[in-house]
Amino acid sequence: MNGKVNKSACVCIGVIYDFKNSDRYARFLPGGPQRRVFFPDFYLKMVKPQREHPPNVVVFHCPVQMTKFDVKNYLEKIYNVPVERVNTSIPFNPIVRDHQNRRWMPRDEFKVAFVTLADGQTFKFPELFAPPASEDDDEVIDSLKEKEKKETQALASRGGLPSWFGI
Amino acid sequence: MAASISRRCVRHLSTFPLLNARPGYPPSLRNVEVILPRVPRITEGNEPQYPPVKPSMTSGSKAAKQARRALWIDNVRSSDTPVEMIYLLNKRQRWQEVIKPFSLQSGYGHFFRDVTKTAVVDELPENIQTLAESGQVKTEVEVLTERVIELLMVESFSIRRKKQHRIIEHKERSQSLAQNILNLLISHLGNRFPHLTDAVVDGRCQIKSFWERGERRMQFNGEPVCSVRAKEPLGLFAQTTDEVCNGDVEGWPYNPKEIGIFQNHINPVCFPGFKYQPGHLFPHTQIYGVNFDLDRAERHNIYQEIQDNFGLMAGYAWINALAMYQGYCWFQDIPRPMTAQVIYTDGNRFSFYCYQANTLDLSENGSPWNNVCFQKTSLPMFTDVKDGKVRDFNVEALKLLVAFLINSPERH
Repeated sequence: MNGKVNKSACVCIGVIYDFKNSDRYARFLPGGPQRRVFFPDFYLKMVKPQREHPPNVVVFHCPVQMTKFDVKNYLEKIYNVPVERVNTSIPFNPIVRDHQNRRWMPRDEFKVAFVTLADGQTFKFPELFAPPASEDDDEVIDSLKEKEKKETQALASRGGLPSWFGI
Repeated sequence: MAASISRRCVRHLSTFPLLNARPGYPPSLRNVEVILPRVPRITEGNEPQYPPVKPSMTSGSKAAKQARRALWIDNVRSSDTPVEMIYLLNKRQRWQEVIKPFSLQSGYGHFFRDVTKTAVVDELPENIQTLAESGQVKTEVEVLTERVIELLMVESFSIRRKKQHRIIEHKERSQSLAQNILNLLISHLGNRFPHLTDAVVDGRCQIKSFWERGERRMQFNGEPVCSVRAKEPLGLFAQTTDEVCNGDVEGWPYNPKEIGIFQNHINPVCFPGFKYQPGHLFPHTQIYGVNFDLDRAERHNIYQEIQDNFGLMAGYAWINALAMYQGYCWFQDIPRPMTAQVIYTDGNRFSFYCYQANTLDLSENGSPWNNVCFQKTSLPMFTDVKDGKVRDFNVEALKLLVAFLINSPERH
């Protein structure tokens, strides 16, 4: 092999850190090299909030490696959404041991980001599904009563005994 | 007998009918409907012969808890001295929201207004406005402008201040200006306005105050620069029949954690700056300086919100603390509205607040009135002190300062 390396033939692989197997990405200190990460495993998934929040708060799920600054930059630079602040929390993800005492996590880990919008903007998570029929509906109760009547009529002549036991 | 048994049977809603539905059974016992005994209403000729069943005071039932709470409220209302009343209210530790008159997260104004049941008006009340334009104030201000300008020059050039972190510098600059201006005005005006010499002027005393609104309990901790207390109450800024005092205040049903207001679980404290002493128990004027990171507030565009909501929280809490020293609380409402004047300065701009507390009972079915805060925020007294001169000195701010101090009980 020659000692010379053809630099123009080198291709930048890009990802330095394997996000799935590490807790954090390369830390930048002033004066140090900029270790850029291309195509990181960053995603933001908007979810329906589980409790009532003020109207300018939106809830996202994101990977655990994302920080508050990452969430803020992601929204501001890609989607042009003005962000005032981000509060994060990581829900408990239990570790389970199998029959050979090996540790594993049956569920994927994620981080919850509560994003407060700036500039007086508000957002409400939309209703995606029709609301369930309430128990107070008279129609629902009447239809259930009729159903029950039909079922019991067939059994009345046999004294309540189901036909499975019959001939 | 069959008929009487049938009256006590319960309806069955199972998918299968009763076994006693088969032909041999008497019809009266087949699939009986519920017939509960009717409880007769208590009328004049029908009074119960035995006393009502009282809940045990020691059990954990809901009725017992309510009875204990009712007894506690009775004790609070019938306590002999204010100190005893405050002890009954604060002897038990509870979860409470710890509040300062400002917050560095946006959106907290709505929470402050809900928690003190305050309506905000962006103008000062009429009597203060007319007083500020009156001849008396004009004559005082003519003499005082020179002395205030001199004071500002001294503050900027002559006082040697140690070089410190910018947050502490802002704090010290604003607080020393607040103190010195108030001292100057009170000593100058005391001659002609005896209510100022009769009043008590507290220095940098903490104000601690607690109250309940529904399920929430609040603990306020404020650090004013100067508080002036009087023997007699100031006059009202608005009548209780006005529209302002009879409106609806929008609720804020979210968790206060969302805006950076957290809880603690210790005994609440009521301390209006002095240990209980009968005498000067009515608020007159109070001045606050900056006690937070001013640069951060401006960078995050929160400073205007801080100025808009400062007076309503500081005013209500001060009035509440002094009212508790008079023996009133949210179980024993004040008989007539109490008023206070609050000023906030950041060393440059002044904000003036006139707070009227119509009620301390902030429960839903309590008082029909709500509290009111009249305010005028962000009035600059000067822009800069450069080259041995004070630039753009604003007389309006000084007029309002003088009007606030001149405002006395005799005027109403």
